[in-house]
Amino acid sequence: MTTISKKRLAKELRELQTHGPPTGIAVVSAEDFECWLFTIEVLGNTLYEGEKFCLRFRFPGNYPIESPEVTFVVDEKWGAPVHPHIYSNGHICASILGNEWSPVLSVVSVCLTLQSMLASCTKKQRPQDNDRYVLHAPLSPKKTRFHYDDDTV
Amino acid sequence: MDLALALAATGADDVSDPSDFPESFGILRTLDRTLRCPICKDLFNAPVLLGTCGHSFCSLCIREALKEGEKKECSACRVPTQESSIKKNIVLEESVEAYKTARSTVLALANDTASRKRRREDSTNGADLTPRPKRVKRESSGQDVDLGDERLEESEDSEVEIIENSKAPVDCPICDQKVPATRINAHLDEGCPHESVPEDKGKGKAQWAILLGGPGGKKGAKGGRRGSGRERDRSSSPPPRPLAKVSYHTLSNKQVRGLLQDQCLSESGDRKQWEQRHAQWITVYNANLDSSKPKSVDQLRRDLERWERLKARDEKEKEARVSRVDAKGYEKSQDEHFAKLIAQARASAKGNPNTIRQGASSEKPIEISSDLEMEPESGEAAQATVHIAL
Ligand SMILES: [Zn+2]
Ligand SMILES: [Zn+2]
Ligand SMILES: [Zn+2]
Repeated sequence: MTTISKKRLAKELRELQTHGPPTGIAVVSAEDFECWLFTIEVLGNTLYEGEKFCLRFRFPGNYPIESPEVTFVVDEKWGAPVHPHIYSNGHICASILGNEWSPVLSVVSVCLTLQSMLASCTKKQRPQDNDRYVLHAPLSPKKTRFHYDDDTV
Repeated sequence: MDLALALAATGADDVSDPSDFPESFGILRTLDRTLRCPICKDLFNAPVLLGTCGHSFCSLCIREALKEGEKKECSACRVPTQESSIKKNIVLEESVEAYKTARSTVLALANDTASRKRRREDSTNGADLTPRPKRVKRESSGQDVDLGDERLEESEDSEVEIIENSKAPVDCPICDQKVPATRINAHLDEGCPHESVPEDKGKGKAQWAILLGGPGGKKGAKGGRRGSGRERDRSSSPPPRPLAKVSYHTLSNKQVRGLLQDQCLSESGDRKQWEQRHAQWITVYNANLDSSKPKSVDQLRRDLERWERLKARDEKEKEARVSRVDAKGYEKSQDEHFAKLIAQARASAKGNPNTIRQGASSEKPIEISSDLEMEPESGEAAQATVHIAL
């Protein structure tokens, strides 16, 4: 990991420490500069009221130039939210995690975007191609070439 | 979970940040934030301006971003741009340099004022004889702000503990040398030169003097002299020109090696490494041209070697991590893993996946996993068409 990415992540960690994470977000673990875990809830009157999810961030060596790998944790304890852009294996189809990533974005801004993506959901359903995708999916969603072909939803 | 502990464990807990300033000094936090690059969040280093939109970044940061991104656009506002729109931002660089010189002093003063205020509030009816500073109520924010002017007269007895703390040496995460905390960023930026930890003479008076331009304020004068020296340097030799980018796919191996030789760069490794090395060289070389205190070309070459070493180490660690994670997953749910393996094997149109899978049978879970990891790249990458709201 380069000096720049370490420094940048150290700053983000300090920011979390000083100001605390945004409402509905909590740090589960951030013990190194490779993998951080957060819990995420959508507060207010939404389809996900009362549900809690776990988000995993993995940072490439040239973060923030390259985007982090962000997935919902799926194991005995956690599940992925049922959402038209979230696969049952926890992979997320969100343009800011792919070709719309910008190095000025941060862990907190990704959390906030995902929170609002959940908050604006009007129908709980899996992506149409969920079963096929999950069967073929690479371990890292960054190896998937998602098509963000509809901006209107 | 202790974030402070996590920071300390990485040896990178010395990074400066707007939150260094006490909460009651929101105005200073804002000032500090505006002088930081939106990409690395550090104080600007060789800042440049994008002529296409007017946003500023460190030269290296925006060059790396333009190199990596699929689209050539401003990282802050997404307006399309290109390398040729990168222009030196001289005024911003001067502002940042001046601010860097003043920062530790301003920080100490702010912390000092804040801690006095706390103490004053703690002590009941006038037991504390410290004179009360003027206080202004800011209409807009409703925030209390202590004016520093009375503090100036009190400089005799001001305790600058915070400065003392910030001078404590820290271990450099790269070379493990002891480096004064106040110098660690510059140390890293300069590529780990040898450091001698200086005597700690950060007494209040000297700090005040620096800020007021008094006898201790040699830094300001030196800055001025450096400025004029720079002008001389520039007039004596024509400014070096930026290196042009290369599209390697049209070149033969020999030609790529020739490019490396032209720049006195190592020819070790394979073709992919040559191209990466040369592309990175162009980026750091051009970014260095935007600095008013450019590094020597030799130093840049050493930086490039260090970059390659770190990159190689990073990739190795990543591989190890994938294996570890998967080994864990394997122990937890063997059945699920095998179900997935079978699915993968069925899905794979290439090679003879079934034999490969059987070869890597149950004693070697790690190999199975790395096999899985590789598959989408070697075979058909998973494709998904979904709707997106972002
Ligand atoms: Zn920067
Ligand atoms: Zn812009
Ligand atoms: Zn060092």
